[in-house]
Parts: sequence; C-alpha cells; structure tokens
Amino acid sequence: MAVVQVGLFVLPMAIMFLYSFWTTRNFQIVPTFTLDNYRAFFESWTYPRVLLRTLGTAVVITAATLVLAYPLAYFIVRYTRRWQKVLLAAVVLSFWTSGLLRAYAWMAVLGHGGIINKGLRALGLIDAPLPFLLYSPFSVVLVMTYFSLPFAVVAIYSSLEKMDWALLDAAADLGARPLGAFWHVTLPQTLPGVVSAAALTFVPLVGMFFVPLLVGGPTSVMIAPLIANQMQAFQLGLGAAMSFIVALIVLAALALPWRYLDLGRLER
Amino acid sequence: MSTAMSRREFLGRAALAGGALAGATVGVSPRPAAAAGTVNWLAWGGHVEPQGIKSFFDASGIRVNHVGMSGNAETFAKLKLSGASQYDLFEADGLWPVRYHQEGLIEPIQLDSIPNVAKNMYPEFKKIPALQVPGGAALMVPWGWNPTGLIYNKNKIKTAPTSYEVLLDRKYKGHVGFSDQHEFLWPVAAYLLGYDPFKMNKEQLNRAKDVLIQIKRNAPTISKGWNEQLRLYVEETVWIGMSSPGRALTVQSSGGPAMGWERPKEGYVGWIDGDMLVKGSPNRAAALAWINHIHSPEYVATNFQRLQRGSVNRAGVELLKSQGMGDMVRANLMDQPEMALKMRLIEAPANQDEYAAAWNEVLAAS
Repeated sequence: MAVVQVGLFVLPMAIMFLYSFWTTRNFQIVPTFTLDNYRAFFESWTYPRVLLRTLGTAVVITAATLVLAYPLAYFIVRYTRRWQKVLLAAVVLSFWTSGLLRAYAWMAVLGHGGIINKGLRALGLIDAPLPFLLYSPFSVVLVMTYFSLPFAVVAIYSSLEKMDWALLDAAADLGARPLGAFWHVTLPQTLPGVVSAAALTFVPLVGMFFVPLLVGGPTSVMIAPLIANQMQAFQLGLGAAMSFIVALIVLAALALPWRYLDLGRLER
Repeated sequence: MSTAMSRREFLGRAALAGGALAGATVGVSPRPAAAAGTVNWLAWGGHVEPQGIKSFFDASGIRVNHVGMSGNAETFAKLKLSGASQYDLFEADGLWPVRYHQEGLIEPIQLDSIPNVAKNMYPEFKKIPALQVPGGAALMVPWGWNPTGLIYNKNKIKTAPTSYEVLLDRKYKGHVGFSDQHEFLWPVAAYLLGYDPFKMNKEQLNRAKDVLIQIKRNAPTISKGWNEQLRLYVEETVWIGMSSPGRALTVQSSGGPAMGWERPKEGYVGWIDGDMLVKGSPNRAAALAWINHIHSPEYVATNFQRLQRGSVNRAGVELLKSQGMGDMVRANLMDQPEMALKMRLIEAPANQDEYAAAWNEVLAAS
C-alpha cells in the first residue's frame, strides 16, 4: 500500500512541487531553482483576484448545497424508512452520467432557446429571453450546486443514520421545542457529517474546470482554467506554483473546522 | 533527410490493397491479410472516418490506431517531453511543423512519392514555401485549410462588416462571439493595432490584451469549441464573431439565421493542417500507405462533407461537386485553393510565456 501511496500520490506531487521552482523557456525546462513562479502569482492582481473569486464562489455554493442537502438527507433518514435506499440511489444516480453531458443538459434548459425561456415565451410572460438564466453568476451557482448535492447528501445521510433519535424524545420530555432540539441535539450530533459534506463540496469546487466555463459568463472564469492555460502553454513551473498555492489554501480551509470544532469528541 | 516510400514498399502495399479490393469486388468476402502492421496516428478526431479505417484494414491488413489530439501547443509540449516514438504519424497546423522539424521530431516527405497525393492534391499545396525543405520535400502532407474571418447574422447586421472594429461596437453588447481559442483572437487585436499577430512584445501584448478585454465585454460567454458556438449562432444569442467561411452555411443548415462571412480589411490568419511522419518511425511504410489511403477522393469527400472546411484534395472536391454539393464546396472556398496561400498562417510565438500570461489576464478581467 505504501508503494501505491508513494507512486500514485506522493511522487507526482513531489515532481510538480519541484517544477514549481523551475522555469521553462522555449518549450524547454530550465532546472534552476527560482521563486519567480510564486512571485509571478502575486506580482499582478490577476491571479489573487481570480483565486478570491473562486473561493468566494465555492463558499456560496457550499453553503447553498448544505442548505439543500441537510433537509433532503433528514427527510430520507427520518420519514422514508421503506424507501430510504431507493431515494438514496436516486440521489446518486446522477453520477452515472458524464458531468459534461449534465452540464450541456443544463445549458439546454437555461439557454436563450432553452426549455424555460421557450416555455415563458409561449405563455406570453416574457418577450425576450431572461438574460440571467445562463452565462451568469446565477447559472454557475445553480449548476454547481446541482453537481455538489449528491456528495453532500450522502455525507450527511451517513451521519444522520447513526443518530440516536431517542435523544430527541428525551429533549422533548425536558421541554425542548422541535427547533431547539434540532439546534442543541441533532445538529451537534451530525456536525461531523456536515463538515465532511462541506469539505467534499468545497474542495472539488475550487478546482472545478468545465462547469464555470460552460455555464458562466465572460467574467466568471475561475482559477482552474488559468492553471490549465499555463500547462497547455508549457509554462509548467508557473502552472505548478499556482496549483500549490491553491492546494495550500484549500488545506488551510479544511484544517479550520478540525482546529475549532472538536469533531473527534463529537464522533465518539 | 527526406523520406519517401520506396517503390518496393509501396508496390507491396498496393498489391496487397489492390488484391483485397479486387477480391471484394468479385464477391470474395474481404478478409484481413495477415497482420501487416500498425499505424499509430495522433490526429484530430474530426479527421477520422471509422469506415475508412475499416476499409483500409480490409484491404491491407494494416491496423490504424487513432489517438485523439488537442491543441498545437499541448501536443508539441507532450511530444517534446515524452518523445514521438510511440506514434508514426501526428498532426499539426499553421507553421507548427517548422518547430517540429527544428526539434528533429519529423522527417520531411516527398509528396509526389505518394500516388494519391501526387494525383489528387491541388498543386498549390505541394509547394507551400514555409513548409518545404531544400530539395523540395514537405514537412507535412497537407489535409485541410481555413481562413478565419468575420461571420455575422444577416438579419441582425444589415451591412456586411469589413473591419474587426465591429467586434468592439457597444451596440452589439451581449452578442459578440468570444472563444477560448487565443490563437485566433490575438490576431484580431494585433491587426487592429498594426502589430504582427505572433511576434508581439510585452508592451504590444499589453495593448492587445486591452482590446481583447473590450471584445470580451461584448460577449455573453467564453465559448468552448465550435459546437457551442454553433448553438449560440443558431439561437441568435451571438450575432457576430470569428470563424471560417463554411460555418456560415453550417449555421443556416442547422436551422439558424442567414449568415454571411467577410474577410476583414486589416488582414486575417488561417491554418493549413496535415500529417507529419515521425522521424525513425518503425511503421513508416504502413504510415505512408495510410496517408495514401486518406487522400483517395472517397475518403476526402466523406470527411469534408462532415468537416465543412477547405480541402487540399482536388479530386475529393470534384467528387463532392459531382454529388451535388457545389454550394458546400463554394461556401468553404474548396474550389479556391489560391486563397489558402494568401492567409497568414498561425504559428507559435517565441515568447509563449508572455502570450500565456496575457491571455490569462484577458480571461480573468471583469
């Protein structure tokens, strides 16, 4: 297993880390140590600004995903005992189709000639297509929330499933209202699942490549396509440095909940 | 060193192919000959006709392994890093073959040593000055070509645009096409500013970047690939943008509005693509036999009917005309090969890092 770990994860990362201190000139790697790539990232406001935009978008989508995923998972666990597995399977069913196809399907729904605009026009409710439906921050948040939802539902579901529901009865016996019981009993008990769901949502969002490009507007570009551009232009050093900066920020973001929430205690 | 298929090699392949084809015509089921080799072909997916690969295998016993390729810079970087020895043929366009030749990755080919190329190709494409080496061998066997000009919706834009300036016009905000293909967008800004599209220095790139950002602000999105652009033109979200002449017909035939195509007065770029032979290819004879096969009029006609772009193959173009596709031939300038030599061919800038950084700033701009 250690060989697999080193071969598949550590070695490629180490090579990229090394590249981040090298440069390329005329499609040739120049293996001389330099911090130029890291300097280039922060030198102009371009990359930090796009990174901040990416992180902000990821935070908004993560929040939207959790808000939708929690009640859905709660409903599946609490009220659909007989159909639980079927409903859960329905949630993860979308994984069976290519992400690219699903993104194109959304474009067919939201586009100027899409189902929604055509429907509203046929009903005489609008004269021109609604401009915000596609190629806008709205469409980015909507479609990426859709992509993230199954991950979050599954993570929260596994936490809710382990929940001792008798505790809610005890809370009610002690005079807690339903909302208070949820806030003081259910949510703390399922916090590890919520944090896992947030991590499973947030991390892929920061690196999301094709969805923002397909459904976003001309100003919705996120950091991943800029890294890809550098790689495609054989600027491996700068591309690697950008990747590591993003990775470090994501790691820091993930470390926060573990630092400030005693999840280990909650899981015990 | 230029490479030609030796007469013996070619006759051997031709006899094998001819025998199998003859067998098929007299009712003998075409059976693959004994394994006669493999061709590893790194090529754009659009150039592949599965039926053509099958008929070639049936006739010659040579198996063609197609490996899909993406952009020029990516492919160049990949082959430079890992070497080209796992392929026998690969593709490029514009002046990229010159770079491959400089790197010693390809062997020039005497085009007239390949019978179908000698017989069927427009003479203009056999002697492209920039793609020839002393002695007359070609760096690549040309396949298709296209100029990139202004494509526009005739219902929305009544006067045919003649300048790239139209892309900056604020009255078209939300309706200008802007793709992620920077090779074709830098020239727009460069021509407007009077610069060489592929030789801009940092300061010129900075000015060109500002022009592209202005154009981007007129676009509804940054489209990826032609299929997405086609949808935008068909549903009339985008009214004007950059594309090849045949795309106007494609938009119309896909249910879109009447489209026009114009050559901008500032100048325009384009590409000629084709296949290059890997230096030291172990399957050289089979690779050249495959090149010969794809330059048959039938393969060309099938492929270009689908691709909708200029073809270097006169016999293929004639076949398309005889099949009643004259409109398509004219729309794609297929019968005007001289046009191909008037285009400025796209090429790799020497300061690739500065171009990449500037392009990222264009994409990142609000």
